[in-house]
Amino acid sequence: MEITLGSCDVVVLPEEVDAGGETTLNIEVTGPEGEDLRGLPIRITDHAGALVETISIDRFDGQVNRATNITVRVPDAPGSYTWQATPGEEGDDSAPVEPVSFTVTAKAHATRLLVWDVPTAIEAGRRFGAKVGVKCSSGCDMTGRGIEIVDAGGAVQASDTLSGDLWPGSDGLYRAEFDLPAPDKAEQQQWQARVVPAEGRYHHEATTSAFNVRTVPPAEYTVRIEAVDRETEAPLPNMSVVMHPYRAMTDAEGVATLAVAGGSYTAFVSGRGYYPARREMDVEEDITTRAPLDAEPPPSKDL
Amino acid sequence: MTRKRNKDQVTGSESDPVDPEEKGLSRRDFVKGGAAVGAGAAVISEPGRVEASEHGDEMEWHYEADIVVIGAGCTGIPAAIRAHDLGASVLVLDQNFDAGGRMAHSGSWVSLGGGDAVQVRDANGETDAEGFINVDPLVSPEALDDDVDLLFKDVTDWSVLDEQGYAYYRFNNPDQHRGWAENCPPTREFLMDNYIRFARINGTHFGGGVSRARAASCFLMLGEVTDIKNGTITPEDAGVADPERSSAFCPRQLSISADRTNVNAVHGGGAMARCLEFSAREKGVRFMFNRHMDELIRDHNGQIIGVRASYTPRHDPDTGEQLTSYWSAGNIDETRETINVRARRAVVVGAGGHAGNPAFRSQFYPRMNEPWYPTSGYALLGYGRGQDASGIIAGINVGASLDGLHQNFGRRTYHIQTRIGTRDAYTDMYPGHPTFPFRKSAGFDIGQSGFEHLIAVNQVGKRFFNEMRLADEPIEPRWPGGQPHGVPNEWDNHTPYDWRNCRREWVREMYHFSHGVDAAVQINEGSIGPEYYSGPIWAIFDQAAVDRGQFELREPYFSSENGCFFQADTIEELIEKIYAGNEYQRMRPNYLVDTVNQWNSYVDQGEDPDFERGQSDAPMHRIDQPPYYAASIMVVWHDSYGGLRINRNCQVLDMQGNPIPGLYAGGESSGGGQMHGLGRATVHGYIAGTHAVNGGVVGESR
Repeated sequence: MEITLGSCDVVVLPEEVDAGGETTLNIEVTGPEGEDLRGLPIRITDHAGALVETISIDRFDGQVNRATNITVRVPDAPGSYTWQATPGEEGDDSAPVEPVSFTVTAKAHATRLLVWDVPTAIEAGRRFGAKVGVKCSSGCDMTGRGIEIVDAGGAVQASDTLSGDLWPGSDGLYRAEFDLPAPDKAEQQQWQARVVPAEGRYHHEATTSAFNVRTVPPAEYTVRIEAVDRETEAPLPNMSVVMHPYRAMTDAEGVATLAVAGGSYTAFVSGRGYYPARREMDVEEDITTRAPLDAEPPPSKDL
Repeated sequence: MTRKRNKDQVTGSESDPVDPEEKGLSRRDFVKGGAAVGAGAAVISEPGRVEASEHGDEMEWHYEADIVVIGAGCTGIPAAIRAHDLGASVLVLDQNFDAGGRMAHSGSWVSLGGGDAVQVRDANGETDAEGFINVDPLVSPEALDDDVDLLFKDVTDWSVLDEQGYAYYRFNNPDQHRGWAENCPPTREFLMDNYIRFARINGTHFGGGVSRARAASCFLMLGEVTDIKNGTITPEDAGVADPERSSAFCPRQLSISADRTNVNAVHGGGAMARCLEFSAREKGVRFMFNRHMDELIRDHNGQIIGVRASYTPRHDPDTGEQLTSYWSAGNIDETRETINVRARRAVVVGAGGHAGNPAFRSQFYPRMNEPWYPTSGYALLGYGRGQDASGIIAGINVGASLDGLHQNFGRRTYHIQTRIGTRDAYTDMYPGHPTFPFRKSAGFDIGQSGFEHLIAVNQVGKRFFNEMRLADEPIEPRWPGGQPHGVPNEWDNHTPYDWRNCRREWVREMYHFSHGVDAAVQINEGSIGPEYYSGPIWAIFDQAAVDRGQFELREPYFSSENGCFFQADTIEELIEKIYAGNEYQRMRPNYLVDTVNQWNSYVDQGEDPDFERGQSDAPMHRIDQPPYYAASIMVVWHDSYGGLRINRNCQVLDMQGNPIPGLYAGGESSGGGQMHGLGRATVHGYIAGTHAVNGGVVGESR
């Protein structure tokens, strides 16, 4: 006589996690006759047949039996692995439920690579600074990992290793700072930062991050802009002054000074609580000018 | 003018306005599950049985009153006081735990006119009766020389357009507005008789007309005690003692009223709502809070004879503690799930509008169906119940017709706020009021200029409009008119009903309309039928923006617990946090990495080919310095227009245009009027309270 066995179902959430990370197994068991199977152990074994965990059915809703969700650690090497859930004690094949296979997937750790504080206008042939941050998607210690800065032609212009310093206020963002040589002529290039591949317990995906390097001709003129409140004529510190690609902030006296190449510019002066002021400027000589800003009225509380 | 307060009544103080024992209003006088006895023309008689058409031949009544008012807001409380003044017993039901409704978080700017007492006072250069006002009138006597005919003409002026070319007053129901205009002067006096103190007139609220100045704020004087009768409030109750605290008395901080009253005065919604509530309680109006009107009940003749109402207590989301009203005298504490309340004479519906009901409001604009966007003040009013269209729906179910739903287009009552990082973005509110935990953050107002520092993305992480034009609120055609208000002439040269006001050449010159909010709610790659929800929109910015824009990234302005603000070291992490932390974010905003990279390349190029930012409006800045931030940008459905069709008496009309016996409505529950808030609602309450008792003798004080 053929014996009908019940079924076991395992849901893996999330389906993919970082190598060495944790995922959750949700186990449901249905008996051949819809029996109450509380107390039935379920053995979870990995791809090598090693026991991961044994858990007991502890709930029955009249049709389906459930075990409390368990958290398991996936393998350290990336890949998809076939694991098995086997009802019953080891060596006891009398359980009325068939074993079931399921897949857990371990991903290579992602490496996030950030580049910031690259000046928007770099005088051709001069040196410039850039900040680089590296973070693993699983929060691995990145100390000692190599970082390279590669120019548009593929040449490595600088390299360094992460010292272990974290960017202030971050949660595991390792940082490095670079001093780099700019191209000799005025142009815009795309450079890259990359993390040098390294051996370790966990495999990290190769990562690059592109950033723009804009070189400009040597500065010819000085543009001095004083930001003031139009109504009170009070100087306005911490205002942003943008004459693309040049940028500056006003100082405590409300003054920003930009060294620029000759040409036509759209100058914006803006900052908290003020509508941006815009002016077209043809720079053919040193310029000193005032930028009166209109205060944005506070939101009305009448309405 | 003469104040008509009854000085012999009990003293108002920091505590409840009325001693229940003194007024014979002790709760023990109420028989649980049945009748109760109140003072004077009190609420309840013996519970009765009466024939009701939809509920079998007989139904059980748990409470009875002459007039049952739905909603303790700016329609309901005036209606209740007025009906009580005229000798009726009155019971007010409100779904919230406290009185005030939307009035409590308003700016208290009450636009009336027609030659009302405050216009006359200011025109004559007089001060208020108590001598609190020590600033000179702010408006010339000529701009205050008003009458009912001019007011009526102003609020039915077909010729005036707003800056989006929408005929602002054209569709106003004329009979309703004739009644409204005629009752503005008596309503102003009525409000002043009930502890409302009006500051100098300093403008006209939208919907109040172009020709004259008609709006004044409600104020109290700062003092050592909060004493409504003597017109004082403590700095703590007013919310001016600490810039980061509200109070249980005032959900929104009051404003220093130096420009329009006195340097020691404060004005705002709390100074209006609490005063009216105090007067109502003092006079003997009864309140039943936590009670939502679900249904109007008719008899076989079609007369509205009562309501069915359910129990809707609110609990602090953090502590689980039930919220209770600030004052309790006159409250009826009733906890049964459902009760029937009989109205011997009438039901007045002042239950608010439909801005808090996405299904209802989407009848006007399908894209308004996104539930992530609540109505303004939702934390105060209660999400899902405040402004839930229940008064309108109950009216529809007894045969009422509707009016003016399309008037939501005027002034675009849906718009994008400059306050980011809170779901309740129309107003600021701070810890200290019991409903603050429902919002958890005050939000941070970056102003229109602050949008320079961010990009705005939709639920899939893509930009959708020029950020500098997102928060572009339109102006309204109102006093003092002229170009800034979209009207060709200033108020003193303005001619209502003149075709030149909408001359085509003028409209072309004046037209100024930004469609940013429409882009924000449109179908995007993440919208899935049949709802096609547009999902949340997010301000994305970096630490450099925080420094440049001086954003205060701290409590109470932002919270990490309300799904409106996230911080991450990388954009990839920010994506995960947004997805995990906001329940209306139905997918990962997976395009965000590419969007930020694209934006940074645009900044480096100096132009934004997608939305033309950075060319004529404001500079562009890279988003690259960690940490990265996402803060909610809210489309606010503020007040709503369109609701039950009413006549000059605020009687609700059926599909044939006949009044439904025993049913009145006003404020946002009613439709047919393109007029904002308090002026509209208070007059409606006054009219409804009068007519419901006097049966047609409206506008006459006893």
